[in-house]
Amino acid sequence: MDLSISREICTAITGLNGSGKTTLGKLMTGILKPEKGSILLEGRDLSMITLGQTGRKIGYLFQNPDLQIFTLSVKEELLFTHRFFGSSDKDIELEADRMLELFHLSGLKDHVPFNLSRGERQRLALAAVMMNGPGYLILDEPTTGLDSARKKILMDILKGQLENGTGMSIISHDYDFIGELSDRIIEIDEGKLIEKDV
Amino acid sequence: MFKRLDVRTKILLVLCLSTPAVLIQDPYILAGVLIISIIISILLRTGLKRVLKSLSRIWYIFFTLIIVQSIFTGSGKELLSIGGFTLLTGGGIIKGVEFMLRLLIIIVSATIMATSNQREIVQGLNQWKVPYEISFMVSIAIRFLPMLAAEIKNTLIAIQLRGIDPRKLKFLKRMKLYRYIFGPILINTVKKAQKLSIAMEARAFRAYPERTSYLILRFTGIDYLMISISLASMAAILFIYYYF
Repeated sequence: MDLSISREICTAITGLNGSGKTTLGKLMTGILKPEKGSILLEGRDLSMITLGQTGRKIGYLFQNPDLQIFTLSVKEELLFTHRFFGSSDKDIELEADRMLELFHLSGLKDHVPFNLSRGERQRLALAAVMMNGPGYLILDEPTTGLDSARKKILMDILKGQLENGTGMSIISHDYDFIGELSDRIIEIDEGKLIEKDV
Repeated sequence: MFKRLDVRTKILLVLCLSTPAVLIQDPYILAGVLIISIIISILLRTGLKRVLKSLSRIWYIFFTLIIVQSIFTGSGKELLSIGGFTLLTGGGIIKGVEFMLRLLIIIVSATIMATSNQREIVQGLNQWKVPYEISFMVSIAIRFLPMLAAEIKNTLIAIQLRGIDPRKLKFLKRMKLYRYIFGPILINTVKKAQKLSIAMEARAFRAYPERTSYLILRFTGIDYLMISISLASMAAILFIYYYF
């Protein structure tokens, strides 16, 4: 497999169940290590970079949002990384409020995340990832559990991110969603990469 | 040959190894029991190497436990003190080592059970007249353990991807991080248990008081031999410990 992904654009990764889309996403983030070959992030071999360092550059949204929710309130979740390192910056608090607004979660800011609906947890996980200000996003099935109205909201948010220069890879089966956002579509078929027309 | 052992023989083997581990307070005998556990585990091809490799990642927890044990059971010659407060003593270190040996014996002997599948374990307990509800709970606990381990691993990965590098954190910060890892895992486990109980009810669990089983376990000669050796060895170890 030989693949180069630009950080400025939106690349969709699609394919049948079990074709290896999520595996590719996890390889791109360094969660999985390749058995052969190498993966470069901004020219550096990913195996030489810790996940913590990668996490500061790439925001990864898991297929299951429950894996990346750690705190007992929605707002606390957005402030998690900053609070963990002891920051009490007021600007961060304002940024969290802005994210809550952007992701339509303001009314739920004091709720326990584990009691939210799947769609709400999905939005919260993405908002928390974006709080770190990553330069690139990898989103694994971001539309799972979202109704059409929420999908539209998510699409607008992602378009905004693209306009602000944050590129992304979207792993999805949702052809309508990726069709509208993507500059490039790659299909994985039996381990081979096929470039599709946008 | 050892691979074909009946699950009940393996349960007895584990009991024969873990009982001395709990009762004995002598590091040399405990070390002997640990060596026996390792040999049996290798003979049964339990994948011990993989388990020990995973444990090596949390060696610092073992080390901390030894130190904590040593501080709270201060006896014997003083080895290290700060400002008049005794931190390490000879007796304390021995207690700490005993504790670690005990833990290792239990972990190694538990790997023996991993060579039987969940269905065999339930059936083994049933044939010992353990109520089905209890044996089912045991099997569920075994089934959930790998899932729990995978969840802990994934949560740790997700935390790292938020820009936190656990290896670069100081001890107290790292402990704080574990609070964030185990909180969601506990909540998700309770949620899973709730869903499982609903699914079981939906599939009419305990609808009939009597249960039949397709799988019937039978002891063979090697089982009787292993049970005799295990019980005799445990009795000999305890006899040596208490009377010599």
